[in-house]
Amino acid sequence: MREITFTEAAREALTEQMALDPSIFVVGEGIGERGGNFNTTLGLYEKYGPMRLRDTPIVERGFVGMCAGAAMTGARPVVDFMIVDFILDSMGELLNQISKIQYMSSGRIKMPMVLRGCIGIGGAAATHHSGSYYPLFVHIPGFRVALPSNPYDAKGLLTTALTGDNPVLFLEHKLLLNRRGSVPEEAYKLPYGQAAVLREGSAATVVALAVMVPKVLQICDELAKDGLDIEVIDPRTLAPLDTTTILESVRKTGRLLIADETFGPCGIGAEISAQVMEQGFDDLDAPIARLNGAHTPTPYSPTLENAVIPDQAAITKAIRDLVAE
Amino acid sequence: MANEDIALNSEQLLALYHMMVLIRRTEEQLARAHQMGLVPGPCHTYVGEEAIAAGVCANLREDDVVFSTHRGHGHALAKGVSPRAVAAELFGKATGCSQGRGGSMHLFAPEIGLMGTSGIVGPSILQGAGAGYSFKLLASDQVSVAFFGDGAVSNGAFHEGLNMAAIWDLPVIFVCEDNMYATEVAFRDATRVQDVAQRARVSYDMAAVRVDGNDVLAVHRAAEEAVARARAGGGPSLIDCKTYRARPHAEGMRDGGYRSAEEMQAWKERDPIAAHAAWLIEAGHAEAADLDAIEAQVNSTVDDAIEFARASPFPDPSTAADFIFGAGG
Amino acid sequence: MAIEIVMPKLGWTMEEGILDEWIKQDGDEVQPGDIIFVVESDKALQEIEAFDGGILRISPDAPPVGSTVKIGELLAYLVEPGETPPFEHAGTREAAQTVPAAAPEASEAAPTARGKNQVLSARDGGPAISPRAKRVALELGVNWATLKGSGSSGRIIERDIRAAAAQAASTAGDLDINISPVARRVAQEAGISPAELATRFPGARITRADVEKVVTQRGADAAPERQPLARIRRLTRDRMVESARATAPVTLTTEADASELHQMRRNLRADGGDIVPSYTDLLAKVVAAALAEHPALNASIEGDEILLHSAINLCLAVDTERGLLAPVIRQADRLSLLELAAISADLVERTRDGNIATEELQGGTFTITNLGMYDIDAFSPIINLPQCAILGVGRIVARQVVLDAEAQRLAIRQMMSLSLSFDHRVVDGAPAARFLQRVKQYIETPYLWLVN
Repeated sequence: MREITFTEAAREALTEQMALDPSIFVVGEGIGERGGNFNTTLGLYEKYGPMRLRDTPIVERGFVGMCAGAAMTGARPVVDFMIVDFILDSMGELLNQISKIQYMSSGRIKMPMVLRGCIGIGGAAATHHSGSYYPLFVHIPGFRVALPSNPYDAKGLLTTALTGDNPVLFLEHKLLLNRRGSVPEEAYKLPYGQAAVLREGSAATVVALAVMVPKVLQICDELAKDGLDIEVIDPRTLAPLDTTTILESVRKTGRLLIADETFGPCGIGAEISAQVMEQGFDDLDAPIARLNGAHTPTPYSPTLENAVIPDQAAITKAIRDLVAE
Repeated sequence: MANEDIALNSEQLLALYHMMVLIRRTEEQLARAHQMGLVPGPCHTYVGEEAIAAGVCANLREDDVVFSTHRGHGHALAKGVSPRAVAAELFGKATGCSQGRGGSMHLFAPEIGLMGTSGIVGPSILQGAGAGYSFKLLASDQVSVAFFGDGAVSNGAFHEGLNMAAIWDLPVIFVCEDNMYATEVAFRDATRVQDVAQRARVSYDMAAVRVDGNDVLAVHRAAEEAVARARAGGGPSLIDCKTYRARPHAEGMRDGGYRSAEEMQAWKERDPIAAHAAWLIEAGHAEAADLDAIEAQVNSTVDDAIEFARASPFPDPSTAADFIFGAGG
Repeated sequence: MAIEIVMPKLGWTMEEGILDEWIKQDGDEVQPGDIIFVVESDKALQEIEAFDGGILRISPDAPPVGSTVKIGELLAYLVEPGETPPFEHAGTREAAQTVPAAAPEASEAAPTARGKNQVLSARDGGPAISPRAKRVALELGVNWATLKGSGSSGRIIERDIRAAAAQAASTAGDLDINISPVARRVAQEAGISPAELATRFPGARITRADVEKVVTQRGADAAPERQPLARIRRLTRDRMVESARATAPVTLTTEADASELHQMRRNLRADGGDIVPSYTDLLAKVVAAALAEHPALNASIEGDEILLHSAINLCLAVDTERGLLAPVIRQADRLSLLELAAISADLVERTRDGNIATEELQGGTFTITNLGMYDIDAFSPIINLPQCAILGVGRIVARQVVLDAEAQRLAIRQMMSLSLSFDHRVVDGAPAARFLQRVKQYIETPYLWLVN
């Protein structure tokens, strides 16, 4: 199978679905003729013009709220935030309107909307361009949250988002955008709420999110040389979260580490940890461990930036400590 | 009264009267029900502002859409939601227009274009714009109406929504119901430019008029022009309606002295229903008895609605978490 | 005030002991004299009793089970109900040392894994154990109370349980058993396999009491020692079987007041003669006198004839290492008491020593068997063929008896049980009863036969 990048895979999903569904339109800053800061819409403006590739004023609240109205009335907006930190200006529209309107209307109004943007720390982007924020959305009923770690998942999860009725946060880690992987040329959907077991093992389970997935996989290959046999799970979507797969794995290994670049408090690791304790307490052979980035705004200088993300040594130590516990 | 160039026939004129009375009686009965504890949550009535909803919505097709505010009962009724569905929703009943998930601030009837009233000030402007975007994208001749109060005018959503609607020529009618107070904050204290139409014209190059919001015919005419413009692809309009609410911000809430008795009395004398009734008789469109008949019919309809709401079942608690998600993903 | 429980000094040379097992657990109520724990010292297990009562509180920091503890080292406290043990007081010395005064130095800003868990023991004071290990322990029937965790935290984890189970299985023939260490040791000493214990007590935690039950039962069920039957035993076997097969035995019992006999023997002993007749001798004399009057009991059966013996040859049953033997006192009725006593003493001694001639064991016409020295009262002696009767003599014991019911007179008397088995083929019940009655009279009033 051909290999393409994460960005190409996601763009392919958008391109395919825009061709199939004329109600899809994209809004964002520089997603028109320019094709998106991260090439998310490259080449689409030429095909579909400004009504479907809508460059906007820098009014995140405005265009998110506007897209809510569009989604309620038959269109299928894709909001391209470029950098997901910008989503924060639209939180009222997202949390008070977009997540709630299907519910408030007792299901009579649909909210088919994709909210996509780049997340994550890297490239000295500093603190207004390095956020992830997905725990905020997992907390709110009414959102789907996709967190693909590879091109195949990116295409499949975005296709699903573009064909469903729900508001979906589709979050793309900056450092994954150029990763290549095998991706089918035809359109395909990946179900939400279905984790991928990327590596089977018995010594411990590591649930890794986004950029942590390739990092953890690489480390586990190293650890395997020492006879440590680690199971690695990529939830792929955080809402819904496939706790079944995680619980099954913990049932096997008895040990769980959640490796997540973003903040620990009230985070995904906390949620997974709580659920495993509620539903799999008797399977635990060691306290559940979390590995998170530092609970701090993201600094600019590379030495500082490196200090707030779990590096290879930290991940390795976390896994070894967990197994030794 | 702007009566020189009325293009409406008597039936349409009486229909406006009928709608205003229906809104008035429904609101009064809901206020009474709220006092009796039959409305478990908040209740913001539209008494005094009926001419705006009636005048605007009389120009809309069923497939046109309305995005409303916390003070939205009148918009819902004018858009065609039955008094039964509105009353039952306020009573928290399964037969309410939001099946008990919304209440006074979240009335939904998307099948007839009521896209929701809202507990948050501002989003109706953005969503109204978005519906306009949708209709333009899908090449539909539907139009979208965003109601909002003077309290939303200083909110970023006003600027962002009007700006986007203007730059993309969206088929949207922005209807500002300037009742002079954002809850208790007077509009004169919240802006240097109380002429909202002027803002729309100057800031966004948008067609905009300022009308007497208590004159249903004036509102109707302004809306008629705006709707026609939108349907014809002429882009958005703003109607700046000056009005006054006759009751407190919300039922059971004290007015707190921010409005003077003189002011309240003065606006009472400009009651839109009384004014329209007088004009109908004066212009020969109706006899007093005709209006009495309408009033009697409305009373009967509203009494039935309240009784219906009272008798309706509460929703099944097991459905409390239904409808969070739609299909797919 | 909390009472310290320390490693006790159990011998002059003991310096340390292994805390083998807590019999009482943290929070248990302890009465003075209760066994609290077990200590191993010098390869011996010793159960340690409480001197005081109270609630046992074992500090999480106490030496773990299985560890070697110096004499005097603190193991636990006994506290009053509701009293907080010293280790739970805030600001105790130990706490002050382990609780940092200020916030941890580690910067919150540093990317960290979860704070290292320093908890080494569970809330109940037992060893800390992971939930999974606990679950597996239950599934496999492993008692984890005495295990040590192998993980970096000291927490017992699944592999510790599985290892313990595997170890048990290796000694138990692939059986996982939950056995206390003390019980395991006792079982090993008794040579009882864990497999047997697991079969006997499936699923349960096996305690020392359980093992001891098996030990006891094993003794009862033990395979008998196989010995070739000695000649005497074979003879006894044959005679007893023949007796049981051939006779129609009936046993009569009665009680005789042997106070006079008792006094008589006392007097004789006090008299200081060379020979003091034994009770058996006295009974032999009594029986001989009675038999003289009741010859039907001094008889044997031979085909269709009953042989009434003119000589009264009394057999005395004697317990020897080789088995039961019954040497014969010939013509006992013609012997004085002292003569009889002398003969009897000689016979018994030689019988016990194995110096008795076969002919001295033959020709008896009646047997006396005395089990009184074993505190036996009534019993049913087996007739010593070809004789037709045997008298079993029970113990003499002081009892309160009614002397005169009307006068309500009671007295403490030396009472003796008599059991007469006779062969109903030869003699009927009434004559046998009359004979026994006569024996009883002679015992109660010895002058009746002395005057003869």
